[in-house]
Amino acid sequence: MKRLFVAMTLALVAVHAQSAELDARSAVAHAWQLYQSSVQTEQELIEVRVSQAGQALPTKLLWRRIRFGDQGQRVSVKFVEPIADLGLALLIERNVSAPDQIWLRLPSWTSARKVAGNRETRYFADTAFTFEDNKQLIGEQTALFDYRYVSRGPAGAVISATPKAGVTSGYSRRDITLNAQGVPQRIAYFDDRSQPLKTLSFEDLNQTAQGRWRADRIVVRQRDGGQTVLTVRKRVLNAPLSDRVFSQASMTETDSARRD
Amino acid sequence: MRAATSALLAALLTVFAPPLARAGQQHGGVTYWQAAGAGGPTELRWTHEATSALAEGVDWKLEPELLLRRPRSTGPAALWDNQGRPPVISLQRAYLGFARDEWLVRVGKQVFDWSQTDTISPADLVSPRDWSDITRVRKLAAPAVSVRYGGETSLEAVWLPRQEPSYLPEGDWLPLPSGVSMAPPRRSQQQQYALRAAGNWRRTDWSAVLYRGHSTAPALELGPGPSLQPIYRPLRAAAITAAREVADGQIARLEIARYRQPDGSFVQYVASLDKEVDDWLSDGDTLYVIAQYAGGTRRAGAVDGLGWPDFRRVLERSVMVKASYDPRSDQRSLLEFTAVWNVKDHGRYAKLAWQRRLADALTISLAGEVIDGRPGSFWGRYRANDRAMLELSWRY
Repeated sequence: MKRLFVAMTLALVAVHAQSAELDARSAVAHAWQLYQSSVQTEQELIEVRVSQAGQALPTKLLWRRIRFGDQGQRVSVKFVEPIADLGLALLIERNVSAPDQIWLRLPSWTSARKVAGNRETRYFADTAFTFEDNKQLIGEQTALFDYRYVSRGPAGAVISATPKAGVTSGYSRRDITLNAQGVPQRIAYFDDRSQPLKTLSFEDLNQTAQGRWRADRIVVRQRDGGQTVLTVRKRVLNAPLSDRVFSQASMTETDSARRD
Repeated sequence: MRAATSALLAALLTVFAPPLARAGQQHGGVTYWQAAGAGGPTELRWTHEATSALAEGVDWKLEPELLLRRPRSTGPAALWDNQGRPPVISLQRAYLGFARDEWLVRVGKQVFDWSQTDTISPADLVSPRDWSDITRVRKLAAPAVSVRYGGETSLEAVWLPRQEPSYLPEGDWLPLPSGVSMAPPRRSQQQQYALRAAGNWRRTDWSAVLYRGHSTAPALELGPGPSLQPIYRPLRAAAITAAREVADGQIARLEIARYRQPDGSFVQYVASLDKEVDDWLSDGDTLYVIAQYAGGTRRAGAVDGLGWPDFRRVLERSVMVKASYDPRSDQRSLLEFTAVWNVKDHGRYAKLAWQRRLADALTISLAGEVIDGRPGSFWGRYRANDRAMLELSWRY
């Protein structure tokens, strides 16, 4: 009888933990479903300000174009400023059920080249963002992480995301803070020794009646004092972006800050 | 002569100054390059690029270039048309583009890069080359009409109204017997066509190319004088390329082409493997390594009866290794090593270069090249051309 009681208790605890995990996973998935709701394409002109060791680097300006699909996203990033970065372009095919594909074009190259897709931990264009961060800024691949609530209340929740075994990640853990509406406000990143590495804040949040949210300012503060601020100067949702925009050939086409 | 030069400059300014002034986006660069040693060659190149949109989906690009070189073994350079050698003033890309949905049409001087492999690319058949400095080869723009349809999977057709000659080797890269001169190249007035399909299938980048025109590499005929007459042989070619990520983040690339020329057919292939290694020596650094082999059939045609090499084929039967080390993975500082070794005649070439971005727009590069080989081999004829080089580049 005692054994049966212990077994039932353990089973209940396991079920509760599993449902809590599912609940946390659902909360994170829901946040990104809201982000993508009714959006097929997105075009943003983003200003990037980076400071390292107290020194401000030249301000960068880039176009980010995204096409959302059932099987993943295609993301085109093209730098237009400063002059040293003009021509730098990146095309990412992010797949739900297969590894990513990435094409890179450096300013000195006359064409784009396929590069290794697994570069999650690598920092991108002098910023505090890794390739993994860039991907997670437009959607979370919830199948790759385990989630659990760290805290929960009327004002929101903090959910811890840890990579599953075999998943390449630059972080041992991410603590995602959701507000009362279930929208991410802050992400704290931890290194492989579980020490705080950096924090990311979604600022100037705006949300539609349907719940779709966007942050017009994203700030990353690093442990070493470095800071990267992304400011969205222009944003167009559901613009008619053709397949050509998300092709290797378009990576060598000139873009300017004025182009809409 | 002076009056003609002034008139030409005035005409160029009249034609190009108004659109350049109205251009929506302008940038460019000035590069000073010098090889070490007394009387070592120097080069100053100014390239300006202007782009603007005329209307929705209609844009244009102009890329004038000024090139000053010293010394010139072939005498002073012509201002505009230099008979198969780099002129002082040239117009690289200059085209009008029309884009709508999946269509992209360009009319004017364009550069086509259909390469997948490094340095030698059998499928890259259209654009002529500047071979004036053998170890600093670059592509030239050619007048063409191109029509492209599609996105990830695309079809592109290119028409060139006539053959555009490549620039011939110059100075130390053109060892001529005394008393022999080089005549201006004889270009073909025949039209050239190319068709390229490209896409990504099962995570593999692929392309297939058909080409009917002339070779971009000059051949030589003996002319009166005696002189050497560069000619461009008719060429029909078919090529395929592929690139795929294989185990452990390595990218395998392959190009194969079959060339049909009046003097016979041959197949050329290039296979390479490249890989990026993070945190190689220290945290945050990157090492990029590429190993490549190029081969071909019917080697007899690779060098003509006058000993003149087919420049498309000089790296056949060669292993090439390139390594690039970026200590902070930010492209500000790069150490690059390139080595080429011909497995048959043992000719070899090596280059070590260090590049540093001094400011946002200013880059310095120091490099050394060593060349060795048997006297009859391709690299052997340039054994005396070892050199150290300095390059300062400013972008605006």
